[in-house]
This record gives sequence, C-alpha cells and structure tokens, in this order.
Amino acid sequence: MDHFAPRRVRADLRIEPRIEPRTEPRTDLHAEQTAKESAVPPALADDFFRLAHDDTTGKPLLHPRAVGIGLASALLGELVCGRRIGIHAGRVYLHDHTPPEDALAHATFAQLSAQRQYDGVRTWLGFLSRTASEDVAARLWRAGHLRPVTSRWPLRHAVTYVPTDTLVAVRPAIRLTGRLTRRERLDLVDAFLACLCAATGLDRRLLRDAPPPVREHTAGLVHGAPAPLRELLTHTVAAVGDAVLAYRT
Amino acid sequence: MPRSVSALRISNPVASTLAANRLGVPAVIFFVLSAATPLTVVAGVVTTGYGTTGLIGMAAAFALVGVLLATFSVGYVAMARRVGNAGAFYSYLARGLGRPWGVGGAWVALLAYNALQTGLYGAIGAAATPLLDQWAGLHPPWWAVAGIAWALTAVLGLLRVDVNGTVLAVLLLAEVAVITVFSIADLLHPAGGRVSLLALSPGNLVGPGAGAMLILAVLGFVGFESAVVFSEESKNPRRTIALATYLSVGLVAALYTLAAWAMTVAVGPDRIAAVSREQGTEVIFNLAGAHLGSLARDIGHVLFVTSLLAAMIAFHNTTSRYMFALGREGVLPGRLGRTALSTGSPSAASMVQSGIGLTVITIYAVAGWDPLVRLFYWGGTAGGLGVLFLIASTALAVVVFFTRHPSGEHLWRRRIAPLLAVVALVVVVVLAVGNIPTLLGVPGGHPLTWAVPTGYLIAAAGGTAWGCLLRTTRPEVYRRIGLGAKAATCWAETGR
Repeated sequence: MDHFAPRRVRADLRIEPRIEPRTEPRTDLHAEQTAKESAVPPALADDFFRLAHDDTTGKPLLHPRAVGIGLASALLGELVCGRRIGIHAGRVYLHDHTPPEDALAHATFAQLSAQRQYDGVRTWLGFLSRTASEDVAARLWRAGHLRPVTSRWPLRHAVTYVPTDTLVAVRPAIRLTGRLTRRERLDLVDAFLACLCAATGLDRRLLRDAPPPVREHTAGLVHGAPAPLRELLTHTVAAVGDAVLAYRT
Repeated sequence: MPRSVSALRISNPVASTLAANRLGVPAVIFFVLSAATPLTVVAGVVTTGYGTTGLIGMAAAFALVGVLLATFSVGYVAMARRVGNAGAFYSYLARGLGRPWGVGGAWVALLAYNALQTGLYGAIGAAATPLLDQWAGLHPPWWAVAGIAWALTAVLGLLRVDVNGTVLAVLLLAEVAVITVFSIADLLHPAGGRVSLLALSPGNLVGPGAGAMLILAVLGFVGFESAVVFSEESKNPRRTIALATYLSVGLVAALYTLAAWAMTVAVGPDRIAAVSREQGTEVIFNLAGAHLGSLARDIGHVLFVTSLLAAMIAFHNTTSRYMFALGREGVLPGRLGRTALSTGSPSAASMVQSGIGLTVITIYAVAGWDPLVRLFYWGGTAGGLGVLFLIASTALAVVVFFTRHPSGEHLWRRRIAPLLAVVALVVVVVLAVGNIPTLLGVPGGHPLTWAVPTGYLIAAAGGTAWGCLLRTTRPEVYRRIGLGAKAATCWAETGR
C-alpha cells in the first residue's frame, strides 16, 4: 500500500475545485436547514439506519453486509459534508484536523487520521462496515431513539435495536419517498440518502409503490452529487457488488 | 507489499481487522477443490468416458493435462496480480487481447458453465437410484430425482445458502479417501493377476482419439482457475495463490491419474470400455463391492450423491455470480445485477440459471433421451471443450499482456512458460476439435460434431460484436469491461 503523502494532499486540495460538497443549488425551502447543517454536520448515518431497518421491529430490511456498507458510506459521507475529509481518485484525504463534535464522527475521524497509511476508500468502507451497524445503533441509543432488546430464544444472544418512537423512525422514509415521488429538488442530505438507497438496493423497497420513472430519476440523482460524494457512492455500489461475489460460509 | 500479518496486528487495527480472516494455502486449496468434487469426475466422467470413447488413455491424459495446466498457471497467476477481476477468464481476455474479445469470452464462458451445470442433473438419477432401491425399494424415473435436486439447488441459490465450507471440506476429504482406498484395492486385485501399465503409456496420446481423452481430462480440472479469486483475501497474494494453484493442479492430476489407471488394472485394459458401457457409473462401486465388501460400496454410493449435489450447488452459484457480475458491469442486462434485499443473493441471475436447468430437464424427460450419456456426458464434455477454448485464449492473452507490460516479472514467468502453454494448448484444441465424434461417441457426420464448436463460435462472435457495439453506443460501459462487480461500476450510466 502506498504511504500517505502529505505533499500530494495539498497539491490535490489546490487542483480540486469541486471538493466543496456544497455546490448543489438549493431551493429557499431548505435555506434554513442548510444554515443549521453547516454548523452541525448532518447525521446521515442515523437516517440511513432508520431507512434500512423496520420502524417497529428494528429488523434490518437489507442483508446485514449491505446495511454495514451503506452505514460505513454514510459515516464517511458525514465527514465529507462536515468538510473534514475529501475523496478523490479512490483515496481519502484529510482536510481539516479539527475533531468533529459528534462522538462517533470523532472516533471515525480519529481512526482515519491515525491510520493514514491506509487511504483507499474501499479499504475504509470495508473496515468501517464491520462495526458500522453497532456503532450507529449505539449513537441512536445514546440519543434515546433506540432501545436494545435481547432475543427471547435461549442460546441466541442476538440484540435487536428497536425504535423507541415509530413516528420518528419512519420519518426519513416518508420524507424521502414523498420528495422523490413529487420530484422535488432535494437538499444534499436527502440526495445523498436517496443515492445511498439506490446503491444498496434499498430503493426497490423504499419506492416499491412509485412509478418506474421515479426510480430512474432516483438512480440518476448521483450525476448531480458533488464529486467527492459521487465517488463515495460509486465505491459503495462496487463494495455491495463485491460483497455478493466474495460471500462464503 | 507483503508484510507479516502478525507484526501489523500489534500496531494497527485496520490491518488486523482486514487480515482477521485471511486465507492461507490450505484454505484456498479447499475452496478450489471442494467445488471440483472428485468423485463426480472419477465415478461419472471417467467411467462414461471409457464407455463412450472406447479408449483407455485417460490416465495418461490426466497426467499430461496436469503438466500443461501447471505451465499455463505460471503466467496466469503472474497476470492475476495485475487484473482487477481475477478468476474470470474473460477479464484476462479483455486486458490482454482487447475488451470486445473479453465480452466474447464471457459469452463462451456462460455457455460452457451452463452446459456443465445442467449436465450434472443428468447424473443424479443414476447416482441416487441404487441407494433408493436398496433403502426404500423405490425406482423413480431419473427426472423425478433430477427435479428434486433442481428444486434444492434453486431454493438454496435464492436463499444464498452456500454449502458450508467445513461441510465441503469434510466431503472432499472423504471423497479423496474413498477414491484412494478404492484405487489401491483395484491395484491389489488386477485382472488376470498382472498389473498392466498400458493405460499410463504416453503412446495412448498419439493415436486417434487423443483429443477426446484430453478434453475429458480438462473437464476434470475445471475450477482450478478459481484460486486467483482469493488474491485479495490471501495472507500473501504472491506466494499463497501461486502455491495453492500449483498444488491444486498437482493433487487433482495425481488423484485422477491414479483412479483412472486403477480402474483399467482391475477390469483389464481390453475390457474396460465394454464393462463401462454396460455398468455406467457403477463400475467403480461394483469393483469396490467385490474387493472391499458392500459397506465400502454403500459409502461410495452415498458420497457420489453428495458429491453431485455439492457440484450442482457450487456450479449454480458460480454461474449465477458470473451472470451477476456481467449484469453489474453492464455487459448483460442490468437486471441480472440485482440482489435479493433480505438475503443479498444474486437473485435475478440465480432464477435465470434455475429456469435454464428446469427447461433442460423437462426437454430431456419429454423426449425420453438418455440422461447419463446425452445430458451428463455430452453436457460435461461440451462444457469442458468450452473451458478448453477459454484456457487456450487466456494463455494467448497472457502472452500478449506481458509483451505489452513486461516489467515486474522474470523471463520464465512472463515469456517462456506462457509461450510453451500457448503452443501446447493450441495443439490440444486442434486435436480436440478433430476428435469431437470420438469424444461424444457419435458417427462422423452427426450434427452434434459441428453444432458444439459452432455454438461456441457463435457465442464468441456475438459477444465480440456486442463488445464492439458497446464501444460506440455506451463507451462508459465499454471502458469497464472485464472489471467485474468489484470495480467502481457504470452504475450511474446504466441506471441498473
């Protein structure tokens, strides 16, 4: 593996004008939200967690590997939106060394900066995907949105995280489905979430009642994403495909 | 660059997590050989081959093809390190000869793997009947048994239940043990009281019908190419994968040579063809019953059935993942690249695969064709021929690739071994195509003798043309041909 070269990072920063994620044109509708977001990076992984799990039982709606990769991608997406990292040519670059406020984002960022010899997006997606489900569930649990329920079956110590409030848990799905079906212009958070759903295959469930053009529209949203997020999403699709092929028991 | 995993683990959580289930040489060999299911080859292919071709040189052919494939593997393993989607022949063709040829190769591979997979349904009836008769007194038609096996394969494929690695490893070891013990027993009871070395004589491979023997031998080795799939998951990609590939080829060659030879010794080289024609897949088990008692024969029967089932499931999964990767890449319809939401199985590709299997079983059942010779043996040998075409063109791709990118490998790996492999494989292909009537056991003018190679030719030409078409119509898809599902995909362009 190539070692992380600080000099090259700076050069890349200079020649990469689109590294700024907030180039997406926005409607006035979201102006207020945008102002809030720039102060506190959006909890993309929380919303993806809610989208990928049943709102009452907490059971995953996707294969656990796909959930893990999607959540890993969302965690990296949070850092991109928070302007801590950039992604270019398959590599993760550190932009800003100020640690993020959120504990999980902080931990992820600390791992990225401590292990700079690994800068491949795929490496990090693979690494983070192994613990992402637990980590994001713990964040939602700390915030009071989930409660752990141990399986009733003896000898099965599986813990499911069940939403404390179904109405809160279902909100991202309703919001996203509504906006996509009405073809509203999406803000960065929702556009990224919609693309992430398409990347993991969750769109087929989310938009199962929507007419086919809506799905095509959703699949095409990735073109409009800022370069670093577009690249992150492309690697996410590839990682999900790879997980199918490399699967073994 | 290769570094000691244990040294990294102390200091580095990323490396240790990613290295946690890294595979060593034995693990890779198990993955490769467990899909090879040796008893299917020895009890099914070898006996039917003796019966259909009437030739005795199969033992010598296994040894020769083993040497040939080991030579081929030198360049193949070396190039695997530079190919994104290692393990699939078409990605080598795409990188070495050009992307349109890669698509052609992919279509040929799909045809060949489908022939191999559906062929297996033809043998399960013959394998299970002795057991069903003995245990329950049942004599179901072959298609009923094949239908049950088909349903099992289809359901497991959709549920993404691969046969567990440990189960496969235990089955593999049991099969190897049974074949070895049976063969030694055969050698201790030679026909006429004298161990004949006739079947091992290289002279068998210069006469007429040599090409047929060679295809049958190649068929036995199918799957050896998959070790490189684990490049990224191995402890030391350079050493682990190369060693695992050579050892797999060597083990398979030794085992099959021994088994094929021992059978001729026990029956007598002059009688093996007649006896095989009469007893079919039962030859090896009847010999074992005579030499070792009925318990040994029953164990062999049970393992033959499990071996076939494991082969079916393994080939089903391989083929459907192949389709999935091509769909994901945009070379086949994007729908094939879909996964089932909850299980993550390549469901669309798996269902297409099952559909093909059911169609073939139904056609054979309705037409009343012989499942063992016409489905299992013809399907297997036709698939083996396709794989031989792929290996030969991959060998050529390796040579071309290292001519363009010579750095990083020494002369033996990048030039001498690949060139030797190409020359030898071209000779084998010429012999094989010339011997198709002998191989299939049909008279010279039979439609099958030209239908099989023409089928592959059409697939290759169609795929190549499709590849050329993609270059102009969908350059984004074209650019990524051969990269497989793991490369950053053309997802956005195809809309999946």
